[in-house]
Amino acid sequence: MGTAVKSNAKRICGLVVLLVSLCSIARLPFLPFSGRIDVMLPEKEGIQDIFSFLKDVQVSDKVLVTLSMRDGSSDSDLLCAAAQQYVAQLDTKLAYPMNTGFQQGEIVQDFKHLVQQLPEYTEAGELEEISALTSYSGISTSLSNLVKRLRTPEGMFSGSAARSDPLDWNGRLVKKILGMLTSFGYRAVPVQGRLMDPEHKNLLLVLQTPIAMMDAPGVRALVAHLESCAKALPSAVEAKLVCAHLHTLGNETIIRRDITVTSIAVVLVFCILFFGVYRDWRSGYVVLIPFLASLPALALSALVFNGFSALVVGFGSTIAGITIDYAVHAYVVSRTEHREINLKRIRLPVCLSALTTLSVFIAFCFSSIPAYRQLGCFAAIAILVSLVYALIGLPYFIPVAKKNVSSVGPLDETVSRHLFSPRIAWLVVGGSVVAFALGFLCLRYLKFDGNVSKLDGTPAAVIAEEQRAITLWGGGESHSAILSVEAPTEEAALRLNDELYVALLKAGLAAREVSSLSPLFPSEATRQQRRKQWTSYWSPERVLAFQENVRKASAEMEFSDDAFSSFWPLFDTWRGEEAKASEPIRFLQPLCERFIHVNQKVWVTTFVADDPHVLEIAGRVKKDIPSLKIVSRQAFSKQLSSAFADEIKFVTKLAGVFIILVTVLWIRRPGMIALALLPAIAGVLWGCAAMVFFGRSLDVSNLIAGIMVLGLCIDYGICMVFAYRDGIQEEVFQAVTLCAVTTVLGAGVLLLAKHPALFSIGVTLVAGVSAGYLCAWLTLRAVYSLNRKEAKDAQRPQ
Amino acid sequence: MRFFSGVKNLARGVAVACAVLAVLQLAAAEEQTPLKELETALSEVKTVKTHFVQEKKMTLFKKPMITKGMILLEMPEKLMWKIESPVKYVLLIDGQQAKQWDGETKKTVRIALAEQPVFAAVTQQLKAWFAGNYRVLSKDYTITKLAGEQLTFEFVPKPELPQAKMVKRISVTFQKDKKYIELFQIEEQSGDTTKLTFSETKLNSDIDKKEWELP
Repeated sequence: MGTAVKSNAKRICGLVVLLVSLCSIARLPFLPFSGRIDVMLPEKEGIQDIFSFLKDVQVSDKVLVTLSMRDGSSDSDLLCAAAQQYVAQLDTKLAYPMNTGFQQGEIVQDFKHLVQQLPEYTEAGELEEISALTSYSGISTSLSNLVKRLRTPEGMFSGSAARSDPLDWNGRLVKKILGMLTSFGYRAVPVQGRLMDPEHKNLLLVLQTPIAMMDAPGVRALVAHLESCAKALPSAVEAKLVCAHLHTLGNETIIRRDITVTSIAVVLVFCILFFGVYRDWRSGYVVLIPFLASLPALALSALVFNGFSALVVGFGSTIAGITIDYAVHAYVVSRTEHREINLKRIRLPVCLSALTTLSVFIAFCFSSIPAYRQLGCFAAIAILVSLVYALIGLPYFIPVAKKNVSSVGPLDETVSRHLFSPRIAWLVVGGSVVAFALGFLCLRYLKFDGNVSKLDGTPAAVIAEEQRAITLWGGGESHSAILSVEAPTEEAALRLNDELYVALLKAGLAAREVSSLSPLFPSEATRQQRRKQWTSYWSPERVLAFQENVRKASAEMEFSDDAFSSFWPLFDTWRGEEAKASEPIRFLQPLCERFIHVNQKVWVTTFVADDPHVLEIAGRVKKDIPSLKIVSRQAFSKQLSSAFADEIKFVTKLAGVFIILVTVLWIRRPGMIALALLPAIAGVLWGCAAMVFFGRSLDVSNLIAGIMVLGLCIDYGICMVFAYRDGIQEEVFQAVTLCAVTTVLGAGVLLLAKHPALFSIGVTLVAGVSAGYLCAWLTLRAVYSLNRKEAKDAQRPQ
Repeated sequence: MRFFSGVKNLARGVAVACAVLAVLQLAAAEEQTPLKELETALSEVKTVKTHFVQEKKMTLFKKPMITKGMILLEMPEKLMWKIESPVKYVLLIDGQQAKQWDGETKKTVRIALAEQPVFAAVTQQLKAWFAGNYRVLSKDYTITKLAGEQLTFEFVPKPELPQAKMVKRISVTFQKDKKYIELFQIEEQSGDTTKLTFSETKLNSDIDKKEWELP
């Protein structure tokens, strides 16, 4: 190739890469990136639905602020003053206080409405109790209790209530409502119009925010604002936050930090290795190639999908890093004396390596997990572009080294040029067998955890504060199963919810086992039905008998003649048949908002224990209420785990088939194929087995890392096998070593990552790539040493 | 899903708590402004042992309702309210715990105030009025010192508060030495009245442990 032609080709190559990169960069701002986590879930029946449902019923627009004395003491006055100050500082565009207090007048009005609705809260079964209560003995007991209550200190301030409700029917209703409310197990009590814990050591503020959980800039602004409000509080008071937004911020911060640290470390490692070992500034091109390949890969793959996951971009960019290996091979041989011949020799193994890696990512494109499909497409394009850049473009930019390249390599020349002695070879083979056996043994102790929350890198302090807040303010439904009924309107959904509640109780569950809105907020139809039942129960004869019993019993106990003057008009109201809608009880509204969810349709939730017996009962009830959705968190977790396991098996099998097809069709020699695959098997085996030593389960992120290990190690195997065949093992070994060392050092930094997913990736990569490399270096060499004759034949260039 | 479970549970808890708050706002009322004169008068009192006669005149009944009993107090958290006639009944409040003994059933019921917000609100009121914790009352009541031989304060509920619809005024008359209450009266809007007259009051005397025991 003449110098002028080479120079022109170099210019054209440079121009093409520049144009492709610029076009891709120009496209980036228009790419539809999203931070949705559900793209990580398999598109299998039920899973996406349940996940969306869980997401919809969660509260992501609330911020809970717990104000406490720093010294743990109790000072309700100071805490209330601090709460007032905190609220006054809030920027309402970011957060505003939820109405946890009510106007006194409103409450009085609410209670009037509630008392008038007594028949609507009286179930058919309770009419029997009414019958007993309105008998002569029932009335005598009620009045006797009233007298006793009025004598006690508790009754000192309840004279007025007794006058309007001498039989304590309203009191019973209020107690019933309160009993149901307090049965939810929450500990907040009212103090000076605020919510505090019973010990008055902590004060709870509930804020609402229009900032969406996934709106990262908005979340940053919100949290910064709330922190600034907290800083302005008296020094004795601290404010701690609990909100879903902290998970977003925590993940973002930790990933940003980990990626920054990793990137700096990787660049440093590359710089030290390339510039330190080769002392050639052009080795920087090698580092550039994966980055340059990622740009068109991202732009092109984003065209295929409607939305592209930001999470995939993060993982994809890391995966694209493995394509540096092609550039390393091209760089190393381009510096040799016989570069043209050597470049031709490495084309086949490097292309085959790329094809096998490509096979893995093409297998990803058939996954039922959208993120994996995106990842497969992105990585496949990145691999192809990298290959083209490395084999066609890069050599134009790398001149032949002035010194013999092998003399500048970091490795012992003697070892790399000579095969092992038979004794050492057998020792290495024996050691390899032991290592494989040990790896397989470790797999027996390995578990798979399909919980996607493993991808949650929320800082421990945030989780600890959530736990503290749950302990402090109560609530324990994190382990509850959710039952949900769905209907086009709220009234229809509430009617179904009433049916569900009745059915659950009828099926054997106790009322305390069912956290339902039904007893507190029945549907209008149920209310009307109960009112009718009430009215029909109170026949004129019953009314007369009741009045006579009251007159007789009260006279005996020396009640005055007009003792019941406030009660009888109310009793008449209860028996009215007007079919008007019930007046809303405003203090129940916040509770309704938590149980009723509107999103095109309306669904009402109920919480029950997440145990097989209760779920079996719910399953039976579902036969009568087809729209009932049963969401068991435990079952969902198992379903996810199983789906991920199936996915791993599917992708692995498919990738295996593709790899075998590619290697068999290309290499066609069974011995070479087996040896080429050996490092990949070792890498994947130890990539997984290493997790046992860290006491961790395999998770979704290990799948991605495992695939990277497979792709990298199979490359080492293929390259070394071809190197032995073509007699260029010295150059190829040097390149493979460089690839492995850079990958292990780069991935090693991930072991310092705080994010659990990145840490898992680090463990799998470091252990897997190290095992694969050692296998390619030592085991393959030992096998070739033992088959010296064949190896010697294979060393001759073809 | 750890992403949201903690937040969700708490938020639902808050919704419940809001509802409880609304229910209890009728009963619970606390105060911030100090009522120094009264508190000073009571500050030296460590224990109180006094007998009382409660006379309720209610339109509900033809005759006044008379109840007799005894109150034991150990500042700041211990209070026993003992009814001796015509029924037997004891209420013991000790910190965050309360016990009720009913002479008719002869049974004792233990109540954790943290779990019984209504009862907690009632005991808070009792402690406020009879253990001299008047500071917490000044927010809800307009307090006037009445002229007369003995120190008497009149508490009139602020008109915007629900209790104003029921209670017209409460007056507290102190003994001549201002050490403890002599007369406690509630006048309701309906005209009903409750009068508690204290006698044989012993201040800062040792109260035998046995006296704190429930029957």
